[in-house]
Amino acid sequence: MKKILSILLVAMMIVTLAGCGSKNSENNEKPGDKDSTNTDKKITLKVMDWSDSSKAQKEAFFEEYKKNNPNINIEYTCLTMDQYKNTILSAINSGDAPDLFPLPGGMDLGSVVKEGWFQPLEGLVSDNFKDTFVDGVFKEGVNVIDGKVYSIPEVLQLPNSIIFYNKDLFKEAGLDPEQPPKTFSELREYAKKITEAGNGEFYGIIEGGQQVNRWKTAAHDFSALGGSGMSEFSPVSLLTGESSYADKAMVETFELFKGMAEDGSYHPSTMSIRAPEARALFGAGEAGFIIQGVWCIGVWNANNPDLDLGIASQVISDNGRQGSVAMATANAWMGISATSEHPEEAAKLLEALYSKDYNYQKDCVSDGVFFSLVKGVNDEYLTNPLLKDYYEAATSTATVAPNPKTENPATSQFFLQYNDVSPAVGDLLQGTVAGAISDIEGSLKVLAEKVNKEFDRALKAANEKGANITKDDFKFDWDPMTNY
Amino acid sequence: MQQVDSRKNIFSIKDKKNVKWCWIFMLPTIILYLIFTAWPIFSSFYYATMNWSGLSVTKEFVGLKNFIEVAKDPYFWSAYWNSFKFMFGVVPIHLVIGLLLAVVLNNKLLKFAKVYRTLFFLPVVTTASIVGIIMIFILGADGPVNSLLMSIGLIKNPINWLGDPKYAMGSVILISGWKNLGINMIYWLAALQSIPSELYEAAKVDGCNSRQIFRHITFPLIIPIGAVIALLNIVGSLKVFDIVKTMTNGGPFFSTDVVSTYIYRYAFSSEMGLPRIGYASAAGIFFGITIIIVGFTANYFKKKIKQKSSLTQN
Repeated sequence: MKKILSILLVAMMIVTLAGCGSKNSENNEKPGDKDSTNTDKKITLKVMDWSDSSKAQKEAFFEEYKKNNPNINIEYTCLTMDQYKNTILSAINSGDAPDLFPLPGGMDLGSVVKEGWFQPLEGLVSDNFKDTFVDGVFKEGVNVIDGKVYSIPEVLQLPNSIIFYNKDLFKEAGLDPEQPPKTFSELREYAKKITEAGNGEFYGIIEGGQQVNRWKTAAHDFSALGGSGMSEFSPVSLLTGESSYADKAMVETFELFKGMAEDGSYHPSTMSIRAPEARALFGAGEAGFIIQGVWCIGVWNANNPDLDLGIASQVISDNGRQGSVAMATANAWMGISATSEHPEEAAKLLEALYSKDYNYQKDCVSDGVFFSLVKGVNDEYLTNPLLKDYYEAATSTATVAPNPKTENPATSQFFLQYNDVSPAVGDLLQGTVAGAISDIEGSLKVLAEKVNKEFDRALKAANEKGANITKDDFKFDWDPMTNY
Repeated sequence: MQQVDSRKNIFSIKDKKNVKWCWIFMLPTIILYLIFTAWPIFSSFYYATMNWSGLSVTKEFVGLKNFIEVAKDPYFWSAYWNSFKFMFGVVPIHLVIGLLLAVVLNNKLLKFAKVYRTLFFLPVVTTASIVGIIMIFILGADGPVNSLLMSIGLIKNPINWLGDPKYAMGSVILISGWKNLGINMIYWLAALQSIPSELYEAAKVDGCNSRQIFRHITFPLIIPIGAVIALLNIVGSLKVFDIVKTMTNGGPFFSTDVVSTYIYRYAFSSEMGLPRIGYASAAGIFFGITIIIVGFTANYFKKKIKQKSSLTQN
């Protein structure tokens, strides 16, 4: 009896295993069959990014595109920047990358192209696609690698450390809403006054404190106005080729933020929220200032029509301005996955995103979401006065800065070798505002030493790989008050 | 006689056959164990000697460099001690309050005991990440905890419980302690219910009060099980990840950064260029060895306690 039972059991096991096998093989065949017969019917393109401020316009664009191209289905996922980074890394790792996805912030295109993330757009997009854009958009080392375009920038890149302020709260605090702060001490004083007037209802300033990149941007840009030479393009100062983290300009910047934290001017939620939540709380009138980018304007226009918004340049040290915020003419954003099964369809969708035949570019510009890179769109549709204010505020403190990657593409090997040190400047500023760091000068000095050490190591490693570059490739004879 | 002998032979043949079948039935588990447990452990030893992002094709052998770098990084040690801080915070909550709850809820005279048990057990079955996200709101600057404390005049200004480095670790410990209290309560209840009721009856006849009963009967009898519960909790809390990741992500400024979030930051996320799976593996092995040592030590004490209690019982 037992024997019979065990034979039965084994037989069952074999049958179930075989069942799995046959199921699998069926599954393996089916999609292939489907594809070959249904290619003209329905193709799903996956798109992923973190552009939450243009989400509404993008979704409208996708709807429009699907209507015009009934054979295309689009799966669009918009995440926060941090979520995006984690998600895209694991998606690429598992070979399941979306068809279209942007280069995550803080990463070098040259490095990821070597890792096989993206495929070149040449041959996929039409020959005159590049002419759609204003001059200076495509640069070797930034979005062009070995002469081939791999990535299209999203928007005309202006500094995103502009000071937005709430004019109504200025009035409540007895401040002149037409006179925004210009210096470090004025910003600190105004924030304090607004906090006092708020009495727990609203506060001086708010930030998406969990997002290290927001702190990093503020540290880089505010200190650059004091002559630190820091930029997104290089781990060291563009002026000296050495880390300027321990310099006076950076220490003063840190002291400004520390001062505001000590005054209690930061909204109490600051350290536990991200940029979109901070933007929403500012829009709801809970804070006097927020340091942010142009994309916020469109969101506030849509969600907080009563917000009386003021826009001002970054504040400068009480000792005066010694430099400028580094501005890039070219940058990298969206590219086509190297593993995409439908690269041609993805390329067509990418082209349409920048095409004047669709409403996306003009909607974003007229809604105040961004400045377009497409020729003529800004001239025609830039009617939003706030966007004009932003342009003025951003360009008055920024100059075009040299970029080591475009000046000498051989430096891309350096960026492949360079491991950013941790904790980085953003972590330190976050820690300072959270109250976890009291010795600003000491911790910045440690950071500067670490960066210099890692810089030398990466330079050596890059040269061992045959890059043939020196420290001089990162140091520029440039007056930071003028365009390079 | 002969018949019996031949029967014996048949049994031994059957035994052999059974052994074979045992192996066949264990095979799926063994295969799964090899694929999903043994293989990752061995491969992480291999990755730890590589300079590798986890994504790229090129791996560079660097020997023990990753281990040296981990050992030299003060933020690794900060995460290391934070893991222990978390353990020392959470384990007493689970053991002491868990036991108290179990003793109260084990009382047969208590009305609605089952309802209370369910209520305390509910957080256990809730996903840690969901608990974490909800707690961000509850403990947030404009959340109910602050409103309550302000309305009764305990604090003047709202405190960001998870955003202030002074309070963040304490808040995470409390929430995690509360979340897993229920399962420990169940462990303790099982221990309490394993005590024969005759012992209690005899003690009552002898005129013991309930405190004496607990001190001289309940406590010594549940201590061996308590040691097992402690061991499970120590190892479990050293490996904490989900609740920290969702509530504070290791911040503000690494004040709640435990080894798991440290490893995660290097292996999968990257504020700093490409991830470094080799380095993260080295950190993982480093800490894995620590957990093994702690586990063995705790196990040693558990055995001692068991021996001691069996001696006293005899």
